[in-house]
Order: sequence, then structure tokens, then C-alpha cells
Amino acid sequence: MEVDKEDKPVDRVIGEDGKERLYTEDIRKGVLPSRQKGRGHDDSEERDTDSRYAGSDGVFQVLDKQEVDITPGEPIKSIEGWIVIIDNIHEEAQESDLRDLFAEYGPIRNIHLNYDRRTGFSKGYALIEYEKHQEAEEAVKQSGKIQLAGKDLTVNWTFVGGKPTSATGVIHFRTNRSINRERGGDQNGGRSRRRESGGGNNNRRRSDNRG
Amino acid sequence: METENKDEITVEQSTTTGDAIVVDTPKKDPTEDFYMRYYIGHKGKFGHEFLELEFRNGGKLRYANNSRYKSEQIIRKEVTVSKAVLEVLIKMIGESGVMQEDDKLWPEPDVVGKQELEIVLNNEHISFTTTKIGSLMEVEKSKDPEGLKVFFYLIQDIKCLVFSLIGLHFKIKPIQ
Repeated sequence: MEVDKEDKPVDRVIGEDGKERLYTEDIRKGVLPSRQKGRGHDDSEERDTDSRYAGSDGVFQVLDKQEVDITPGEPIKSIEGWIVIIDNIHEEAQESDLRDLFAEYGPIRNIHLNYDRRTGFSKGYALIEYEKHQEAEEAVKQSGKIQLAGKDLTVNWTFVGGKPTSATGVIHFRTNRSINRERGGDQNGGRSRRRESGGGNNNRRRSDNRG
Repeated sequence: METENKDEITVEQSTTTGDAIVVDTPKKDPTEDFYMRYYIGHKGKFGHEFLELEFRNGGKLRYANNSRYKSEQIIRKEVTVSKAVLEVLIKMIGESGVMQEDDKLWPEPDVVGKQELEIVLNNEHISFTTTKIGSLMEVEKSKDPEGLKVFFYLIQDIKCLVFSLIGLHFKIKPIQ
């Protein structure tokens, strides 16, 4: 019986049904977060994550199928233009302040300066849409060089090429966690074991986070 | 494998005792092992209606909306966001203080509905559940108004970010 329990987590890194079972690189390697909190971890509670994404409900639409051919981390085009994200915005900044600064690189097609729902002040980030790649790129090049109310604004691409995935549905973590628990908190044993035996599967899912 | 990790273990000076203590918290990029999922839904006469937002490893953002009542269609969208977007989100989560909260005293999911918030960040994993919260009044009346308020506002800020992202990328108007 003991052997069964130990072997299961490895099988479930990528389940027999092809679904991802774990998230984050560390967890795939078998390194579990040391602290956990919340009722959602409780196995007695019925969850229906599988039913949420059964059949065609599990098919997520990407904007452009070619997207997957783009090198991970390279910027991708949105449906009508190129979106940049600006961060480190002063909380009292107004949309018009950003328009003044960023219209210099091209006509602004869209701007979202979102507010903190609690304070009503700017949340500190904004999304700006340019029509042309070149315009957005010019803005990105100015990252750290533009100031607003004494703060240096960072400008980055918002959407990038990602790794293709065939997995559907949300990723289950709890199954693995509960097994780990059953083993009576054998954290270290579990870690090293899963690391070595999970190696083959990990390579399939390794993704590059640079971007 | 284990020997590699030794590099990551940092030794810090304890401020209170002055003794050197070993802290097993490698200083690494929080965007690298980040995960977030938020679900809100209920089962009623229009079936299982829900909204789910998920940020997976590598910045993969997934947006699912089963709102048959308003749109009569199921929406499933997926796009990868840059590290800069994850940094905005992680800062939002960090500043909210939600990682320090606990759902022990929050109203449990019921027939009205259910909310789930799951976050893996900096070696901490929270998985909170509660019922649907319609207003701040309900928050104030709960057994943990401060904690629930943190959750209540964070969810709005996260939804606001994700709706902007999805809205701009796909040109759809997400339904709240």
C-alpha cells in the first residue's frame, strides 16, 4: 500500500488523461509550498472543476493560431493593435496625463487607467493600445525614461508568445497535496523522490519564463 | 539535485537576538512560480453559470465565462501575458494583504453561490472559499469584516485588470 501512495504523485504530474495536474515549475518538480491556508485545501469539500471544463468547454480560444509559433516572450499583436503596459504611475495621475506623454509615440487607440476600488486612486498601472508595432515599440524603448509626477514610468509589452498547451481545464493540485498529507508530512522524502522520478515528465512541460 | 539548493539558502542576521539564523527562503523571482485562480459561480435555472480567471505558470491567462443568461454562449479565452503584467498582479496581491488572511470565519459557499481564490506565491499557497458577496453591507455583517474586505476589494481589482487585458486583446466586453 505504501508503495502505491508514493508512486501516484509521479503519475499525476501529467495524468493518464493528458491533463496537467500541477502548476508552477517548483510544484512540478515536487517542491510544494511550505505554507498553505484555506478551506479550499480541504478534501472533504466537493469541487466540480472537471465538470466546468468537460468536452468542448475545455477548449480555450487563442486570438491567432500562429501565436504558438512565436518565440515565447516575444510581443504578440492583439486583435486591433499592440498593447503596452505602463507601471509605477503616481496614484493621483489622470488619464489625460498619460495621453499627453504617450501620444508622442503614435495615436492612442485605447487607454485603460484602472482605479483602486478601495481608495479611488489610480492603481498604478495602465494599458495603452497603439495601432502599429513600431509605435508601441517606441514607447517600450522609453521605459524608465519617462517621468510623471516625479516617478519613472516603466513601459513593457503586455502580451507575448507563450508555450503551446494541449491540456484542458484547470489544473488540479489538491489530489497531489492530499496524497502528500496521507504520507504523514514526509516532506523531504516526498520531494527528493518525486524530483528524481518525475524528471522525464518535467522536461515536457518546462517553460521559459523570460519575457 | 539537493546540493544545488544549498546556494539558495541564505543566512540572515536575526535582528532581535543577533544570532545568525538560516532562512530557507531563496530570493527568487516571484513571477516564476506564481499561480492564481479566481472562480465565482452558482447553479440555477440557467445551469452552471460561472466566471473563472486563471494565471498559470509562464503567464498563461485563461478566462472562462459561462453566462448563458446574458450571452447564451460559453467564452473560453487564452493569452500569455508578459512578466510586467504578472508583476503588476503580484504587487496587487502583496499590497492587499490577502496572503495573511484566512477564510475560517468567512461565510461558507451556499445556494447563492461560491467564490474560490487560489494563489501560490513565494512558497505560500492559499485556497479560500466563500459565498457570493453582493455588497459591503454583507462584508460588515460577517464575522471577519476586515479579512473579507481585503478579499472583496482584491477580487474587484483583479477582475478589473483581467477584464482590461481580455477586453483589449480580444475586443470582447466581459460580463461581470
